[in-house]
Amino acid sequence: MALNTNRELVNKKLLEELELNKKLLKQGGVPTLNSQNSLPAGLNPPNKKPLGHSDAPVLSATQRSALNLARTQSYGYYISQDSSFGNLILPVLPQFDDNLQDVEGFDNPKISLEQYTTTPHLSACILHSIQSTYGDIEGKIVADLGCGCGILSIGSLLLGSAYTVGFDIDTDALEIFTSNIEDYELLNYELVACDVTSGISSKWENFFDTVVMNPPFGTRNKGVDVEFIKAGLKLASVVYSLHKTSTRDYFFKKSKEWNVNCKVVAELKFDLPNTYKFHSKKSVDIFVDVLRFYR
Amino acid sequence: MLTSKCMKGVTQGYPLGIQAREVKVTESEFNIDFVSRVIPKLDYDTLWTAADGLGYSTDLPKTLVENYESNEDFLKKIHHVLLEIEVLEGDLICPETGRKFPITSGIPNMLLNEDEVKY
Repeated sequence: MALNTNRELVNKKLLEELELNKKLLKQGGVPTLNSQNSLPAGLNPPNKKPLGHSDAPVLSATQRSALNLARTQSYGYYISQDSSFGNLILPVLPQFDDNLQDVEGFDNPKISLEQYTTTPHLSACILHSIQSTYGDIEGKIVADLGCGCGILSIGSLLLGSAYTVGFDIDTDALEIFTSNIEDYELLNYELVACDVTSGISSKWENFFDTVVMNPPFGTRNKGVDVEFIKAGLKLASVVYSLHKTSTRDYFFKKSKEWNVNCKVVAELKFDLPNTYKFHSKKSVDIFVDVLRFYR
Repeated sequence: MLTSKCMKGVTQGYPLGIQAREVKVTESEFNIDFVSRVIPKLDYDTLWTAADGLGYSTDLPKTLVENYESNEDFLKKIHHVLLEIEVLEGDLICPETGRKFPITSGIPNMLLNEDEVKY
């Protein structure tokens, strides 16, 4: 199987890297995960960490080797992250990932809404890091803003949310959501077609325990990402949102303005498939943060 | 049901009336913790009126019972109304303007036409 060959290749690469890191350590140099960029094209090591962020969890050489070892020797995915419990390496269960594989993306994505399909793997990573670090999914009442075809909503339900409500402006996407969720025998959910930035009824205020979202990044419609977070903070006291790592400092600043806390829960790689005609490359990797806004 | 009952907004009157053309009754797992947590978040009168309008109020007490957290029988009834009765096709109606918000395939559409949006 191609997968196995890939795995072996990654294995080999990582071992080489470890050796290199060891040498560097001996010389007093600091090994960096940047070297992972040399992985063969087409391979997506889970959650490659970008560098240069002082607040990113700092892994010691031992921890990093453990993470690499876990990634190579297990069928699970592992993410590194900062945790108050000292769990720097968190397992992300592959079964869950598989469960989400059948969730379809957008038929005809709309660029005005910046619709990009959140991949099953990315969604699994996001939700597992939220659940394993803060326990904010299982048994909780969850809202998914800009839910689109529903991958985060369905994921949250699979992880045991008590009730999930998906909000989206695009009724076409909600139709796909409905056909996606039909296969799962999940009934404790609800969908609402409305404009997330202005149309969510105030009756929903503080109705939810947790908000999750992969909002439009605001590349096309400037400021819409901020509007999504603001809308989220009205619905629950904890909001998890996916943003480009490059905008992290901006959101730290914004969160101070709003008097809420902001923390990086995980740094992930978003393998953005070629979605629109103006995309020239087959796919582009962008680094994204799962940010936790909380009161 | 839950969505229909909780709608309120600047441009939408409250409580919204509910008119059903097609209702589906399903069975879903009873989550006692969820139901008892969700009750204080709801306006009980509105919920009752809505259930009544759909013809599902027979078993439902008209006012919220005391100590409902420990009243499993009552919680099960609320569970039924909230989670097992789904309006598949119908309308939510604004009491002030008569504006209808259609429910299609179980999804209430609260989108306003451009000329209705006030900024």
